[in-house]
Amino acid sequence: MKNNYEDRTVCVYPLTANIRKKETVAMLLAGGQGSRLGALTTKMAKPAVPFGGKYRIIDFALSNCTNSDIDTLGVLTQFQPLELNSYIANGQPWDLDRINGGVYVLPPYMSAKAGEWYKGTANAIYQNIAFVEQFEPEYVIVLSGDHIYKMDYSLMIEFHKKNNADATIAVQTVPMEEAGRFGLMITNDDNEIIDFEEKPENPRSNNASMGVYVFNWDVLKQHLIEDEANPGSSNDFGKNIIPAMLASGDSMYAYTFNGYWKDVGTVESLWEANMDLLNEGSPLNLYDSDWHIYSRNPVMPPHYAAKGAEVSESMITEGCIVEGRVDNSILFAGVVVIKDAVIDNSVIMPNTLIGSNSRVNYSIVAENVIIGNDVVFEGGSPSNISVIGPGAVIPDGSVIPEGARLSAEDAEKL
Amino acid sequence: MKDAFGLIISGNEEQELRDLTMIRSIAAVPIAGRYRVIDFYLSNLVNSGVNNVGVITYRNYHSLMDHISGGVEWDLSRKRDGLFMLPPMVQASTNSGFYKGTAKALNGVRNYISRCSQNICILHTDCRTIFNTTYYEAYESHIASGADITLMYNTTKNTLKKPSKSEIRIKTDDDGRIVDMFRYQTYKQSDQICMDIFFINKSTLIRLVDDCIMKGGSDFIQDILIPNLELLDVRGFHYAQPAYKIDTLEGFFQTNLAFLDSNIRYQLLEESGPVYTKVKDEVPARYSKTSKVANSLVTDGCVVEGSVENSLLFRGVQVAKGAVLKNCVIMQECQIQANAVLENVILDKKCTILRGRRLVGTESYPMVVIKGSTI
Repeated sequence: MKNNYEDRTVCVYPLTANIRKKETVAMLLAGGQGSRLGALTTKMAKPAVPFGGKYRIIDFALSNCTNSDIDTLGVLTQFQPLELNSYIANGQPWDLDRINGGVYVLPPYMSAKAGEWYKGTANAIYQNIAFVEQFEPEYVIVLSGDHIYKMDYSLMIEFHKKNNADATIAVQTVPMEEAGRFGLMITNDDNEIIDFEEKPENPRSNNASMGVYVFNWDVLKQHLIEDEANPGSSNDFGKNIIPAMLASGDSMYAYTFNGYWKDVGTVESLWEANMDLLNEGSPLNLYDSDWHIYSRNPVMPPHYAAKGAEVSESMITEGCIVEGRVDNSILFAGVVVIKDAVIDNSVIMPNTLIGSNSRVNYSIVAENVIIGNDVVFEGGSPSNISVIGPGAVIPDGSVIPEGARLSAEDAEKL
Repeated sequence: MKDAFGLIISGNEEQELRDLTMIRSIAAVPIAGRYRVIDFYLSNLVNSGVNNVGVITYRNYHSLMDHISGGVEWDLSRKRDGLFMLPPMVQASTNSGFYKGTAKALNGVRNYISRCSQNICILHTDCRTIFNTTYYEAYESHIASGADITLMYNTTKNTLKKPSKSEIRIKTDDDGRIVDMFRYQTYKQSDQICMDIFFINKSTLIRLVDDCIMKGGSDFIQDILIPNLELLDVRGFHYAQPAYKIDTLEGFFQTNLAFLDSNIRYQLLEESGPVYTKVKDEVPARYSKTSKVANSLVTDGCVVEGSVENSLLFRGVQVAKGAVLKNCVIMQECQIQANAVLENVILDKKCTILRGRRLVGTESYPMVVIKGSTI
């Protein structure tokens, strides 16, 4: 800021001099518990759940931001934030440790007048209006931290600018018979949104909202303030903000994204998304050197396959030791498969040990689990996946029934 | 170890790794799947609580600079101290862009040494030993003995290979003082091998280097240490853990294969602390229906469809269906096409072996394929 002071021009820097204007700020919603993931999310929020051998679910949204040249983002946490806080830390693995901008973890906080939890997705952004305002952005992109997808947000922002829109909502074309599970956008021929339906019985469209929104910040801010003043509102983007914007005649567009996109809300869908990676020609190409998915790396040696190990159609990460047989499975860092153990169609999360002669089938075994010797997982199928929660110790010779959901406490009773 | 700083001379003129060190210094040679030789040196220092590390580069230091960059991965990107890359300075009068000898290199970084706020220098005059340690014990012994210089040595018990010509052996008297040093060729009786690691007081180091340069010397061991063995109190510190020299191709090959032993792997990569290296964000390794793997180390980014036995695959190696690898060290981003057969082979980075080709070396003389070749 320039001032004239006794005929001299002096520069007076504001206190926040290191904060520069940003065209776009991303707000990443990462507060959800993901209660349908059961034992996997009792101690960590859903976005922190391990995925795909060396990632966590939130790595996809974070890496998308980095690869889309969005370098300023707030991560809104609420439920069990410890794991997520320490995972994101200064943002260095995603190149988000910046002098201007970077990643900020934003938990709910107390202020002089009041303090409260985030009441809904819209309220979470409302409580952080001051955070966004520091960067004086034109646009805010609202993302969800629990989806698996690779998406170039910069193309969506281009689309938003070209249409002179107030809001742009990313949609995915889903089969008509499944459309009823989603929030649906009804559009005209120009992709302009003319109506919106939340999980309707008789869908009029199959454009499902992906929970990725681009807003003009001024317009969104106004709506957030009005929404907050309405005590009857549940302060949710889908339920309240989008309908209110439609009602007030804001210009809204649907941006169609038909790449791989998966909401891993249930144990079965989490298992399935992991298995998708094992398909040759998987629609989610992780080998794209222009679109790396970044993650915080554990410091571990290459994995070791012993004499007598058999590995087929699987993904195995650094730090693993494989002496037994692994087929159609994903092993995370530091997993140990002892001699004669057999793992089929399963996802084994970090630092878990599978004892000798045990057979694991159609399961998600969480991190730091010890499965003793001669443990048998019965049956199982893609629609009936067993889950062993973090830190569980399964005694030698246990029999795990098909589709079991065992937390560490349950395992003590075995 | 608050009062110590590390100084690493990243390889010198006597390099015997043939094609592997033609394009890079020995410190930058890839090893054990995902590391470079210097990772062991940096990690040992960092795991000992040393926060000030200078790396002196010789010629061909691109590869090394690219690997270390700002030192973030070793937690050496600091405001107070941290990592200092010390490439040769081109000065018309004193040198021509690279150092001829370790003493000349030390003279070239005299300013850095005298500026360090710590008093004890942990000097590494070469990067040709693979070991995993912390220096606490050696440091304590250096301080307690009041020696001018403490030299770390190991014995032939903890080595893998035949000694190389350039290997330096030491002779100690009953008090643990070093009385003489020899090339292995000339003195075969001693089983004590110099590890090229010295604990030395900063002011002593500067004085000795100045003196050596004045007298026209150029090498730390030859021209500083050996002539002064009578005048100075030089003591040995016996390092009893595995320390594998990679100063010959055979040694390099055997050291790599030694990592297949889980005890050695534990001793070299975990026991005294993790070995840090540059993070590449590769996808986990992937196996197909046809893959066979036994007694091998496989790194992230690999795709294995063929058969791999007693081998190390570095990051991003592709082994196609029907290819057979035995006793091989395959560096980053090599492609082995269908039905190729490789035995006792070291492939440098980014090599392509076309379909059905057959490359066979021997255990004591592995075949080395130069970086980027297509065969």
